Amino acid sequence: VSHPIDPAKLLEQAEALAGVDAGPGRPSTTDHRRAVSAAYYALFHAISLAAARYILPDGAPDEEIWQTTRWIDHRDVRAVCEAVAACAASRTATVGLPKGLSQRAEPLWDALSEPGEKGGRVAKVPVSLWAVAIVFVALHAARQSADYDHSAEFSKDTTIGHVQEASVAMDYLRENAANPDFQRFFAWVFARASGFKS
Amino acid sequence: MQSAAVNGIDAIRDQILNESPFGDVRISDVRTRAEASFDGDDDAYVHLVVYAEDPGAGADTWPVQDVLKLRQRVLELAVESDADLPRIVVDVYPQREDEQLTRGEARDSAES
Repeated sequence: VSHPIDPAKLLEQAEALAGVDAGPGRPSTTDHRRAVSAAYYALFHAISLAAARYILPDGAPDEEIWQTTRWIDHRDVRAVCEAVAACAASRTATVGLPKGLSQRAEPLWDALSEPGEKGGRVAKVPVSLWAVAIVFVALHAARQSADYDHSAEFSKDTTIGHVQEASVAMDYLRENAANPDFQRFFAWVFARASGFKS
Repeated sequence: MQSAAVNGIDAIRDQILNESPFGDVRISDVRTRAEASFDGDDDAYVHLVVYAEDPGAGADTWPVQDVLKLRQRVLELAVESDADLPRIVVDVYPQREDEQLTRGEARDSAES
């Protein structure tokens, strides 16, 4: 394969379509929709590739990494991101599971929390991981609107906002590949993925 | 949308307005939008539509960290809320959205 999917290139495309430095009123709203979609896919593929690289041995061939990412579905990433975001938002001591978490996500809460001083457990999620999670959920929703909702509105400012949030989230992924909580996140993405079930 | 969820959203909206600004992001209005489902599944979402006073200031930049803090704060308030809230998606729009869209749509029509 000579032209694999490159999240960085997708992000460049999103920036160009968003019209950064293009002047007032430009480009068209159709380009804005495609920019939002490209920004979402840039982040989705960045997460998928990082997760595949984490679970495969060092030196695994690119082809193996690319094939492994195919097991990951958009809903898998979204579900894990929602769970991480729910954990992170539980800043006060919580007895049991935080709101929005299913019982199956209990190991995730145990890993992303610590005992509170007065009982219960309190979130200890890196802000950068929380940011990746909430940006993904927001972009997933925006991408659905951009691609399917005729009444959705994407101004230049809003579009640039989505693209720049994707860029920040991708920076965090790159900078934290060795962070244990990010590595847990990658593992959970694969635990949620259904590739092995088929 | 269930009434409990509406009450929870109202409380979040009031709190967000009270806590504004978030860094450079000054909130001028918060509304809710009908829930949507993705990929044909049954997952219900509430979109909390936050209008900010020109967050990009026409500079082709976006106060990413401030918007992230806003998104995080909304989720914290959702967790703290007693309401049985479904999942929340935060949409942030600049206050001048309508004006910009009108320009863009007019140009789209001219190009087609």
